[in-house]
Amino acid sequence: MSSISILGFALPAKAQLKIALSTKIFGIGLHTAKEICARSGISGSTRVQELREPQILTLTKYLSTMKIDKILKDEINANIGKKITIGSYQGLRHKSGFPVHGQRTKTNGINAKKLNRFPRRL
Amino acid sequence: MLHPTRQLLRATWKGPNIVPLPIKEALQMKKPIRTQARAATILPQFIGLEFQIHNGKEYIQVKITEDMVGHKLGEFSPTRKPFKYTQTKNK
Repeated sequence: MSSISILGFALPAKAQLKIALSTKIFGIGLHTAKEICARSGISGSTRVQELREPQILTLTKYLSTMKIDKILKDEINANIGKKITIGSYQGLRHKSGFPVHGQRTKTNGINAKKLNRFPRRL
Repeated sequence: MLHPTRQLLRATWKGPNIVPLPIKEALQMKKPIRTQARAATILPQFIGLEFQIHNGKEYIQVKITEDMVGHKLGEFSPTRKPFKYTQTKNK
């Protein structure tokens, strides 16, 4: 499947712009994707391959100001790391891979075991 | 249950939970402050001080750093012992 690269993200050529943005970029969901489309003056239902040069330029300009992908992931990990280094209760829970917000651990807690490791795999 | 910092849940007009603590004496005497006020918010004035925070059984010594401002004192003295598996020798 062919893809078009915007700011280093490979967006599928035949997908609608809002869908492509929300599925391929970490930190953008459908709601934000729609907002990006509206702010850069492009209809969300245009296909990625139908985008013209100036439209792609405005998109990249808007996306580069946003907190997405690597910057966002780094920030999340830094926040967790801070909690661990100051030794707060939430940090302890993160460190030992348990639920952070007071959930039970007699049963369940499988998602926490998967996610609450440091550095967090996103 | 040990409550995490709930800055979002506390009404803003109340401000932070300020508990009268002997900060001045601690600065002069360089003695740790022994307290049971786990719900007290850590203020910028506390930085560098030593606290002995009650966890229900004993007092745990914690040195306050810059990153801890805004958290509660109780977050730094866990109330429960972490589970450790011990193998039984005599069966």
